[in-house]
Amino acid sequence: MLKRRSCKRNADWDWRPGVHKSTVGIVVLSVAVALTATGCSGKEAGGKPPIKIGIIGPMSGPLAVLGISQQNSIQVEIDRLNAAGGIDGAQLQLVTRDSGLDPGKAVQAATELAGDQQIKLVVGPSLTAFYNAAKGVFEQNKKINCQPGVASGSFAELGYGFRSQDATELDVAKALGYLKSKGAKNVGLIYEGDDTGKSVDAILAKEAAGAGLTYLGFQSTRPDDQSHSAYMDAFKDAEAIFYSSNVGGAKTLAAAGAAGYKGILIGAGSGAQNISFIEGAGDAARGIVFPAPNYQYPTRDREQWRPGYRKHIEAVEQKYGVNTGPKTGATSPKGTALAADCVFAYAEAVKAAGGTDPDKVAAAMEKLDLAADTTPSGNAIKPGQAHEFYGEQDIRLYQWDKDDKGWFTRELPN
Amino acid sequence: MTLQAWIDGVFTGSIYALVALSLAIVYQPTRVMNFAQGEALILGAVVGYQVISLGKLGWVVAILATLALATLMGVLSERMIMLPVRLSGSRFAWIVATLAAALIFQSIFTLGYRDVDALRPAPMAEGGFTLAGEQVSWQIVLTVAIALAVMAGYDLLLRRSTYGRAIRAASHNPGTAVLMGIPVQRIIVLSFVVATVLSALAGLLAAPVLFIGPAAGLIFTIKGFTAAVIGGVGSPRGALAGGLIVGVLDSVVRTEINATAGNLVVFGLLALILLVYPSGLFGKPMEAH
Amino acid sequence: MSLLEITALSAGYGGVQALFGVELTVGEGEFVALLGPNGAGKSTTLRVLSGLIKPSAGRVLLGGEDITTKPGWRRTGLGLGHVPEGRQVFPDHTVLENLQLGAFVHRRSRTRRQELLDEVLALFPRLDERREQLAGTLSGGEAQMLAVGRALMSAPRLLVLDEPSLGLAPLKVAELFGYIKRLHTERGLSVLLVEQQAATALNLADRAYVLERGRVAISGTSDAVRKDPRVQAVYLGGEISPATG
Repeated sequence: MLKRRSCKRNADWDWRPGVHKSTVGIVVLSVAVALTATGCSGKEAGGKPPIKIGIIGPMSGPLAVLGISQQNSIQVEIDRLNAAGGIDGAQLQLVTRDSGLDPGKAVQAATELAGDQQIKLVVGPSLTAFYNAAKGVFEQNKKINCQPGVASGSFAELGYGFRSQDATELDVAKALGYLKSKGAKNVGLIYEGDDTGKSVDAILAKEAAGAGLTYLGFQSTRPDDQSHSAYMDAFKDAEAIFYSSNVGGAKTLAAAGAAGYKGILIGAGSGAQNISFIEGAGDAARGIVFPAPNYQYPTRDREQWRPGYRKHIEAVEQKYGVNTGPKTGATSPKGTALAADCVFAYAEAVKAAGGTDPDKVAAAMEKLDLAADTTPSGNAIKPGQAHEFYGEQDIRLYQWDKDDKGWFTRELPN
Repeated sequence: MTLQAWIDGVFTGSIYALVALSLAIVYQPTRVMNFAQGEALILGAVVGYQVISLGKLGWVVAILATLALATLMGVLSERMIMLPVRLSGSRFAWIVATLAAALIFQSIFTLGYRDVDALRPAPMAEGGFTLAGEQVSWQIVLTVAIALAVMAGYDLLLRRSTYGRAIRAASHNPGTAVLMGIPVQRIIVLSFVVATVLSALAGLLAAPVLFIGPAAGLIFTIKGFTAAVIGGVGSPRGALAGGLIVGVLDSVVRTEINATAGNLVVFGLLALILLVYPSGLFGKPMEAH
Repeated sequence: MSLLEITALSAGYGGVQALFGVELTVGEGEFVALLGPNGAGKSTTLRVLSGLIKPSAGRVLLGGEDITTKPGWRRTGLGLGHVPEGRQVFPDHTVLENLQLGAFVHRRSRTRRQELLDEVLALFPRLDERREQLAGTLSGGEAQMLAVGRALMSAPRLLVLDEPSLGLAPLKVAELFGYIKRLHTERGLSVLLVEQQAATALNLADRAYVLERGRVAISGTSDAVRKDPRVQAVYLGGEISPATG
């Protein structure tokens, strides 16, 4: 089943809930995948064996949207490169491994893909805990690894690992700048009591004063909280509140709405771009602000989208369609452009290095300087010694709002 | 100590109390602690989400659909749980049977709503009022009122009506109850149905306020179980008291100290109460069975 | 036609047969005793009668109606009143509630229930005195009276008593059997009494059956049974050392 997913081409992943629809959908999908599995194995062109790219992520379970979106975007980027003749004279081929919600599976998949000489690049595994468990394997095996789903921790000391996501530090710094510009005097944090929550807490404790803000402290939440009004209550007089990038963030927003909170609600990460926030919080999400790397999708005016981004997203839309929140009608593409950046940057690095030798490619990756207009994500890619694809200038501020045509975001001026 | 924490605690507490009462209703005639009870609550939330949020069919349809589906789920649960319990000689068959039922229902809900973080329909009663500077939504008031009414009604039924006496008799000694002409097997099925309907209604009422995910059933079972044990299994008054204690204590401690302390204090109290009152605050000593 | 007709009854537990073709009848207004040592099949016969176990062969007719496959709780409505072994009153219910539970089959008629309650309380004034008391606090004799009264609350056609003397002081036993005798003679109630105290039972009953190893060993009028040398040897002489297993 897992192997078959790797060559799935047209499975139209309909994530919308609905008992009948999804159950039937899963059955149809499984059958379709099983049927197409036999006919899509070794597509080898031009004499050279294919370059395989692995992705490890949650393809099943509650976080499947994350893994499937990454897989979709990578597939679209691979298709684009293959149509242009591949890289280094070889065609690209995607290999998918499902980590589900089991870090053990992620490590197992990482070990398998890292040991496979045909695999040249591994994307994922997503989620910080999963990644931390697996990253040593990539270093030992000199496997280029790209991370579109890990916000905390540092990549600077890694030889072969790169991050194609906004680091928490960048997001929080951007958000603090915004609060300063709004003249807020103080700010509190409501976040899960996990590693990310603790790291945001540490950053705020250190940086808030620099932005002229009093840090009111950290209300750490529990996964079994069904409501955040108790935490909200602690900050009812705060001028601004940082909310979580995870499902807890939506609970905070809902509690803020119920309490009639009037201050600024700002994301401690880019999670609020996810339409599940809008689905969970409903109208309470109007006016919330979040920092994120380029995410122009809900801004509506496609003419303004960066060319590479628009091309990528429209290809994703064409191939996989759009997620629509069943309750609110908010939409998102069924792809994660940041994951496509991994493949895009890797292809550029191979070109620069003149081959797929991991040491040369890693060195070439560090030296990349790709303009925002060309990349699938619409962000400039300049990894440098820090191994961070994106820098401060790539983080933008967006604000959710709703009108008679539905939910949209506007980009706030810097 | 803030008023908001108390309002929150009373609200979630009355939801836990309804789950605790449902657990007690099934426990009385069967001696089975139904770990699948929380799934009935999810059913209510699912119906609310499907009918009100997606179908835009309104609350009347949602309530009717909840009653119908919960009745079905209750009958099904009785078969899924009591059949293996009767067929198996093991004293622990109920643990396996109820957990299996819980996981089966949970799988159905997560398959159907796998990307929904919160089954949150619009509230039945929009808006709210201000009490001493705190916002209180009508939905909260409505939910607490319904929970109290259900609890009082069930207490009355149990103490005053012929059926209530029959249920208590069947609970104490099913063999002798049958000799009195009491249809014990029917009472057992009815208990599953009533318990499922009550929990599902709790879910339907709570869904607009709380974040209820499709996989959250076991959390509610645990909270309801804690409430039932603190209050004394089998007594509606105990369920109410236990539910409110769990809800308010967690909420207040969470606000005053922090989130981890909330759970710690609640489970610490559970341990303490079990030491001092082994059969709960309102419970009678359980005889061996 | 007899009120109760048990024909060719065989039954057992998990492959171990306990009854072998038992035949037993109780006529309208008759007082019948069922005797025998422990393990002879008395309890099994009563379990089949109350529907707790299903027989492997044979039939049970009550008032001419075949009740062999009827669920236990339905038989009470058809006229079977049970006084179970060990009394089994509901200890957390009051005396009054216990009696009302006995009238569960008359739950739709408040007046009928009241009539029955008045009758039973008139019969057992001690229960009337203790009506609000929890049944768990009654003495053994009072609890046995409550168990009988509770069975009478269903207005049975046949009263089945399972070892009512068990655990009672001799004086209490005499008092209890006095009540049962009165019910039989004054009100014409049919009675099936299962007892180990054979002499007492034979004094009360019109007819008697003696079960041994799952079979009816002796049956006939009380006088005939009392005079049977086997009964003389084993039960009556043996009141001091009954041949029980």
